[in-house]
Parts: sequence; structure tokens; C-alpha cells
Amino acid sequence: MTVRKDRPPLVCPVVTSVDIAWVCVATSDPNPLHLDRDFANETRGYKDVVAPGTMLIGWIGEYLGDWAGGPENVANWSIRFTSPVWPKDQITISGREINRVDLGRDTEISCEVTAAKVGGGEIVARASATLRIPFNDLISD
Amino acid sequence: MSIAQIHQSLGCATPAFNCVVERVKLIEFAQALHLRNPIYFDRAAAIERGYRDIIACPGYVNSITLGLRGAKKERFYLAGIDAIAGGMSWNYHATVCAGDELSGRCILARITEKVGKRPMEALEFETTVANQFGETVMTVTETTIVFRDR
Repeated sequence: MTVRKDRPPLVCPVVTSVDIAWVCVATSDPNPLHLDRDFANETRGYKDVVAPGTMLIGWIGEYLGDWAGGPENVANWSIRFTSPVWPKDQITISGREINRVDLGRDTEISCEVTAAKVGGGEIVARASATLRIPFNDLISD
Repeated sequence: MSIAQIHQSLGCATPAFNCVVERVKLIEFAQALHLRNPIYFDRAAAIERGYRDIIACPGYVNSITLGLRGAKKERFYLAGIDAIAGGMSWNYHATVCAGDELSGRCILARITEKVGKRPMEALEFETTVANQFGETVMTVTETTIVFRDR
């Protein structure tokens, strides 16, 4: 397995209110800010429903899992949301390696991940993660 | 409710929660996000890769702890308190698959004073989630900022 220093960006599908509702159903999240445009507008002044953070977590989680050769190799990560995501937004996930430490049996890779809107580049979330790759699986480029 | 009541609950925990990870929910989540890796929605592909069943995508696992929101508000006197989310981090210790039985609870682990335009404190909650084998699968640290001037 090759773990590249800079993983190619992941362009996520355009966010739709249907997908938002579907995520809410799957995660049992009844928050009306994600489901009811009128509620979101009247209570927060939002222009539309807001995508739940679990969507970004899911995309970044898949991105990290693929980068690491499997979700079991993602040791830990944290995320900070910086801007809301609305229906019709499209998000690109990109990441870069910050540090790599040989632990003997494993190699530990620290990386930074950014989620940004396509067109304008507004950053909606930043994540940092530690990937722990079994040494036998690792061929560094 | 007051900040003093929150301080009194330092070290206390919510009641334990239990849930079963449903395969259909994992598939719904993966489809809603248009995930590409079949280990998140195709059982045969997941088993071929050496997993017990479909894998729970990290976003889905994290959502399980969101079910504790109500219990946290009640146990730690957060209802009606002026508070904002201050960040989350996760440590994964084992893979979660469809059919797994998870259990856990949330503890108010730390309270620290923060410097800002308004007087505020950071409440640090730690949630530990274990599976049916007794393995800890995930620990979540969540920070909530509460303002003391209201």
C-alpha cells in the first residue's frame, strides 16, 4: 500500500435537501434546522436548511479511511466546523501529510484535512488526524 | 439553572445508553452521502476485505453519541444555558460493524475558565463507547462553551 504525502482531493456530490433529510433519517437526527426551511429562517435567519455536521464527518471519515488503507487505520481525528453548508453547495475534501514517525511495527502519519466549497473556496471544516499504518502494508512514495 | 449547578456535576455521568448498529441505517447513511467505498454498504465486499459485516462509517459512529444530547442537558443542567459548541475529537480503538451492540455514557470530565470578550468556561465532556465484546471502540471528547454573564 502506498500512503502519499498529499492525497488527491475528493469532490463530494452536490448537497441536496433530500440527501440532508436522508442523513437525518439514518442518524435519527430530528433537528428541524436540517429539515424545515421555515424554522431555520425564522429562528436563525438562515437562508435554507443547514446540512448536519455528520455529512462532513462522513465524507472526511471516508477520505481518511481510504488514505489510511482502511478505517481501522485511522487512530484519531478531530474536526472544527467553520462555516455552514447549504443545499446546492458542493464540497471538496483535500489533505496533506504533516509528519511521519516510524514506530517499528507501525508508521504514524499526522495529517491535516480541509473541506472547502467548490467555487469560492470557503472553508467549511478543518480536521487533523493520526493514521497508524501497519509497517508491512506501507510502501512510501 | 446556574453555572454553580454545572460545577457540582463535575465528574458525574449520564445514564448509560445502549444501541444496536442496524445494517439498513449504515446503508442509508452511505447512500445519502454517496460514499464510494463498498465496505460501507456492501456486506460481501466488506467480508471479502476481512471485516465481520458492513463497516460503520466514522460519521455514523459519531452520530450515535448525538443521542446523548437530551441526557446531557438534563444531567448537567444545560437547558436554558447560553452555550455554543466548542469542538469535538474522536479516538477510535476498534472497528464498528453492522449488528454490533454498543453501550456507553458521558462524563463531565473538566471545567476550565476561558479568556474572551465575555466571561466563559469550557466544559469538557468525555463519552466512552464499548461493543458487545467489552472492547472500547471509541472515545469522544466534546467541548461546550458556556457564558457566565447570563
